[in-house]
Amino acid sequence: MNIFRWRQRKDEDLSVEIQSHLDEAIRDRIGRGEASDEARVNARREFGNVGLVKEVTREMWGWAWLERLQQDVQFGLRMLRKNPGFSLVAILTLSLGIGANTAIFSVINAVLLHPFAYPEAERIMFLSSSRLSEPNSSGAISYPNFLDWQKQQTTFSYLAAARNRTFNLTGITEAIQVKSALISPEAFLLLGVEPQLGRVFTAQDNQRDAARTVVLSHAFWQQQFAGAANVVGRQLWLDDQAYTVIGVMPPRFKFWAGEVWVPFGLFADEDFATDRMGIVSIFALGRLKPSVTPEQARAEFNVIAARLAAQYPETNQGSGVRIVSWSESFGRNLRPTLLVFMGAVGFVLLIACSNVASLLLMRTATREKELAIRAALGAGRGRLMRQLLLESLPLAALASLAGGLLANWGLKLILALSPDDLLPAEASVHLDARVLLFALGLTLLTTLLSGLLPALRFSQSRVNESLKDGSRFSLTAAGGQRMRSALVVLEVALSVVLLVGAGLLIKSFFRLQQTELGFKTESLLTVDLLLSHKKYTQTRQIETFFTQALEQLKALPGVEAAATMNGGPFSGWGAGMPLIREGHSYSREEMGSRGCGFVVTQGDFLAALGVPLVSGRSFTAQDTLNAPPVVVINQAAAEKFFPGENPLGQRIRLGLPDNLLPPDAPPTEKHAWLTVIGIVKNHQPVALGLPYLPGAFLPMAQTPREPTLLNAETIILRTAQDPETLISAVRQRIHELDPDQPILRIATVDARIADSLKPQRFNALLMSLFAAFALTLAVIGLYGVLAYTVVQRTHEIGIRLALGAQSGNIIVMIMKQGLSLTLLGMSLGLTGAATLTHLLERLLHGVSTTDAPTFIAIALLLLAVAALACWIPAQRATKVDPLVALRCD
Amino acid sequence: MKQRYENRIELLQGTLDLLILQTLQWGPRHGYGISQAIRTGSGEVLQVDTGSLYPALHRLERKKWIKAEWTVSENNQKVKTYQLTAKGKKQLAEERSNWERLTAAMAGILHPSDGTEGA
Repeated sequence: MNIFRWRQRKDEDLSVEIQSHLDEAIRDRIGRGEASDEARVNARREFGNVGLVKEVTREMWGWAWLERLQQDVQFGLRMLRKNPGFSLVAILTLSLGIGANTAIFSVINAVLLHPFAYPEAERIMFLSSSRLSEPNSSGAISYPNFLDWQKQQTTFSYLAAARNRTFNLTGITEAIQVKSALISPEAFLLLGVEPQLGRVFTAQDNQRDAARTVVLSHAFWQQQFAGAANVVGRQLWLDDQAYTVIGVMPPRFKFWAGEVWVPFGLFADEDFATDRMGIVSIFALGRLKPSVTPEQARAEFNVIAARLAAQYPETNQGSGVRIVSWSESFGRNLRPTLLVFMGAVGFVLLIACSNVASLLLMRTATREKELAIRAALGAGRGRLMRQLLLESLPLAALASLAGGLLANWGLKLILALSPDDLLPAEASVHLDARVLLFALGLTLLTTLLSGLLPALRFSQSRVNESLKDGSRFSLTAAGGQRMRSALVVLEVALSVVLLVGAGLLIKSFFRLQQTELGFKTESLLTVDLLLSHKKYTQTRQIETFFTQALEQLKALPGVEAAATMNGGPFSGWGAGMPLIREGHSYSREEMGSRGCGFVVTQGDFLAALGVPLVSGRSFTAQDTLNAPPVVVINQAAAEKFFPGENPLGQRIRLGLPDNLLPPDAPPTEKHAWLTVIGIVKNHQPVALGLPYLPGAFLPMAQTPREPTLLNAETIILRTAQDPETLISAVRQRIHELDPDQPILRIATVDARIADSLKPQRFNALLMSLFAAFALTLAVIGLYGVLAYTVVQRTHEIGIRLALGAQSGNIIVMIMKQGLSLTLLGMSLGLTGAATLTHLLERLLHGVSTTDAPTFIAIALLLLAVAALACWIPAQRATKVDPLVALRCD
Repeated sequence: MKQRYENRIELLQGTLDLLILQTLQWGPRHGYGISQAIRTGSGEVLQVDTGSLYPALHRLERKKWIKAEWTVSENNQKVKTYQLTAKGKKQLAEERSNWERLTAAMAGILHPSDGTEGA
């Protein structure tokens, strides 16, 4: 029911009732002999104040508060319509603050607070191995250890192992690579998600010799089977083996970023699953039993780890188990970035609030008389305060509406800009009920904050003063001005902090881009391939494939040099191994500090990569399997492992020394001694901004074993022309060699570098955006204060001009006021920035958190912008006509 | 001070409520009729202020002691008449006995000669 219509009817009824009362009274009086005019007047007098009677009666209906609310809101709306400029600025300002906060909170909500849509996700724990000497370290676990945990533990209702694995999917038009996770069947029970179609794995599917089964993700089912309802029972060729589809999971199930899931047990006899060292990335998840705390689980696993260490000292000595909540393990890398952003948008909102508060203060000041009259007519102080607060309600409603739209766009922008692997696969970032609730709460808070200040200000002021005082320079106006000045100082200070943060991130970004990479990145094309583990089981097969590929590709017009590397530019150094020297003996402890990256390569890798040889020679066609094994090392390795010596001609081994190998180790465990034949300049293969690491190059022709190490290769092509033009030709040549071979990626190195810089670019961009908001708002605030000052001081300025002041003096006077506010805010801001920027430490590269040039540059930028904001009102002040100024009261 | 003030209001209000309920016990009346009945019934001693009457009527209506109805008066005018509800009748009986107990007690204090003090 419409309460306003109801109320209106009640109101009309009351008027009729009172009218009939008066009519009866008049009739009575006339009946007693009074003249009709006299009777009318007397009846009216006897009745008393009709309006008051109505008012008090209405109170009885219990709707009075609602009515007053309606009145105040209506008044607020009228004020908004009357001052469209004010309204627009206030709404835009607030909506920017609310929108930015809501967008960032959406990401935080999805990533840090609720990354996983699984039931009771907070009871799911992430298990990894840790070194007892560093309890916070987190490393892979081994499958044999995991199986022992599973048998011995009692604190988890389910414990599941998971590992990423890529398969080549064939039997379709063009072979592709499929991201998959090997998982134990417990994973589905642990996550508590039922399949949408078919069934999930059972313990039988997890047997080594079980029929090969696969569970599909929703997305994969849609892409490859067009969502066919009869997909269960169909076959899928993964790495040239047939798997039967047994189930399809619902859309949000993206466990371990898999497109398909395969039972771990099928691979239980492969090297990675039998080795207790645990160098392959296997991790475990466990669901805590009801009423078991994470501490109890940790205590139990400490005991289990100690037991296993005693049982298998050579592999498990000194290693423990790290148990953290799953969502925590995900947010770990992202948390600092997101918290910095949340702080930044919080600042933007604070600035927006103080700007709107300042605007409302100005409006309240111009309405002081009106409010004083209301007070004089009996409106209580509380009533006035409530009125002022409620008047900002329409403002807040419109701002939150606009803020919601902005948040929606902002979120899309953030997701478009953010690096692919920034968010966990399961996290679904969107504006949901929780986010909307947050936005609503934020709006209320904002309204209160920005509306309360003027309301408080007025209630402090003495009503009588305002009424008595006819001049513009009333005490209260001066007080309001002081408060507005304080708000501007706050705004300037906050925006300085944001500007400094943004400045540091931008500088760090440029620093990174300029870092010396040690190789020529332009005109370099990279092609990532992963050869099928089943088809290419021998190193020689792999070598043949790549020899042919290199021949084909070198023949393409424009290709100057070609090589393969298992670890191309910006895909890492490949595996690391301890580097030991012939004739030296080592303890187990020393192994940790002797790590050396190595890359197996084929073709003219120095020319292709563009890394110069410092001394010695590179590989030749004579370095075959039967020739003495050779190695080329980089300068970092030469300096670290041969300090003050010439490494050329020395023999090294990549692997454990004889004294540390188990006595029953097969002879293949004993790696060959390699003669150092060349030293090359350092190059950065991992990511910008990291130190050069020691590394070695080995010829594929001399690598006898470990085909699993070589299946993933990158072909690099140095070209004479734009490498992009070669892409389709390269694709075609490789497809001709093996139609079942998917190409993971073809990209220029420049594109890879841009990719690797995406997180930094993202941070710098977002922070700059927020800082730009902040600066704009602060400048608007500064301008507003000065413009208002000029209006207030028109009279005084007129007198000064009339007495012969030069316009220069007036400009100096106004500018001085504005710049002193700026300087005060700036010094507060710079101090604040110096104490806050340490939060950025983890996001910066090559820039100190108190980088003086950045601080100075920001100070100068702010001064310049502030000077402009002051100049305009100052200029206007000189245009004051003394006569007009003196005439106006 | 505030306590006393509130007591006074309460007493008056209660009295007015009782008077209205009492006036309505002989049949429906409109607002003016009620004020006139109280006035004449009290021998012109009690003059009901319209500023108290109408709020009181609307309050009693909300408490469902009386109900209102639009009727046409003898002068062919649309008037709102009030009448007692069952709940109102119960209330009237209760308030009357309260009032009588109160006045008897007051009288006992104000006229001590009638009481036990003579002993």
